[in-house]
Amino acid sequence: MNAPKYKRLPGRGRTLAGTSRLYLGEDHILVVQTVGYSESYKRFFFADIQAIVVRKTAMGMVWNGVWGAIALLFTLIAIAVNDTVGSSVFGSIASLFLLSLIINAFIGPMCTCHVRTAVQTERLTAISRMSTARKVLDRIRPFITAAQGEMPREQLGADFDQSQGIGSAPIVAAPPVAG
Amino acid sequence: MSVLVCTKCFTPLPSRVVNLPEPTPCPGCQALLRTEVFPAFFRDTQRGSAGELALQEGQATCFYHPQKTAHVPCDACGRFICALCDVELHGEHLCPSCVEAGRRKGKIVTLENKRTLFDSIALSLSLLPILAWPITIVTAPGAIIFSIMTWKKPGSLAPRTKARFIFAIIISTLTLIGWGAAAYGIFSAFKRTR
Repeated sequence: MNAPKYKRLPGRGRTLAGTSRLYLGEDHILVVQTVGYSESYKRFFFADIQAIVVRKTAMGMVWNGVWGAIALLFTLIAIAVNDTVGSSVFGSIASLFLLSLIINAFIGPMCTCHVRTAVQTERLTAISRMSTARKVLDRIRPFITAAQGEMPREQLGADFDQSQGIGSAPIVAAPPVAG
Repeated sequence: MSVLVCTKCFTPLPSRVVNLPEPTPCPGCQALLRTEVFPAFFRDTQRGSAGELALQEGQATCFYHPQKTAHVPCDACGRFICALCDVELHGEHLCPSCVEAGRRKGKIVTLENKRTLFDSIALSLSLLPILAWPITIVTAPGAIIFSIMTWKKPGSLAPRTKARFIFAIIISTLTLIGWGAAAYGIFSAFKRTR
C-alpha cells in the first residue's frame, strides 16, 4: 500500500510529554505526538468526526500577566541601577519580556480544542490559540462535509436538543396562508 | 448517542450554541465555546456482525470458525472468512491474521501508530558527542554508518526530507577530517622532534 500524503495544518503544541502537530490526510486528520526519537500517531477520519469543541481559556491573559510583570520588574531594576551598562543590560532583558508580551497579545487568546467521535473525545494539544483553531476548522470543514454531507438545519434544532436531554425549543407554527 | 457537553463544566450544550460563526457562552459556566457539530453526531453506531451459523453440510465455512458460514475470501491469503473475522480496510477484505501480519511488518501504513525517527538519532549521534569531544573518534564513524544503514528505513509519516541524515553525514565527515588533521599534525611534530 502506498504511503499516504500529508499536508501540515497550523498549530504546534508543547507538553511535558513532547510536541504535538496536526496533518491533513486524504480522509483523516493525523495527530503526530513526538517524544524523544519516536512519533506516535492518532487518526481521526473525517467520516467519524461528530463534533469539534473549541473553548476559550484565560491562559493567554495569564501569560500576558507573567510577561508584563517580569518586564516591569526588569524595567524598575534598570531605572534603579545607577550605572549605564547595568541599566542597558536590565533594559534589554525587560524589552525581551515586553516583546514576549506583545507577541502573546498579538497572536490572540488561548483555547482548548476537543474532537469527538462515536467512541472517544480527544484533546488536540496542537491547537492552543483561537486563531489557530479557526484556521484549522476552516481547512478541515470542507473535507468533513465531503465525507458526511451537509448538516440539515432542522436536525440542529429540536432533534439536537432532544438528543441532549434538553427541553425542545418551542416550535413556531408556520403562518396561515391567506386564500 | 451520547451527550455533547461543555469541556469545562460538562453541561449538555443546547442547539443555540452550536454551529455558530463566533464563540458563544456555555449556559453552565459562561466559558466561550465554538462548537461544530457534524451529521455523524446523529448517526447510530453500527453493530458488527457476529456471522451466520452454517446450517447445511458441505457449505463453505470460515477458516477460523468452522461452524460459521464463509462470508468472503481474504484478499491477502485467500482463506474463507465469516462476517465476524472480515476486516474491511481500504476496500479490501482481510482476515485478522493478515491484518496483524501487515501491521507488524509495517505493510499497512494506516495501522501504524508508532515510528522511530532514525534521521534525528543520526543527527544527535553526530552533534551531541561534540560536547565530550574525545568520544567523537568513535561516534563520528558510528553516525555515518548508522545514517547509511537506516537511510531507506521508513521514517516519519509526516512530510520530512533527508536533510537530517545529510547534516549528520557532513558533520561526522568534518569531525573525522578534524581527527585526521590532528593526527597528521601530531605525527609531523613527532617526526620533526626526532
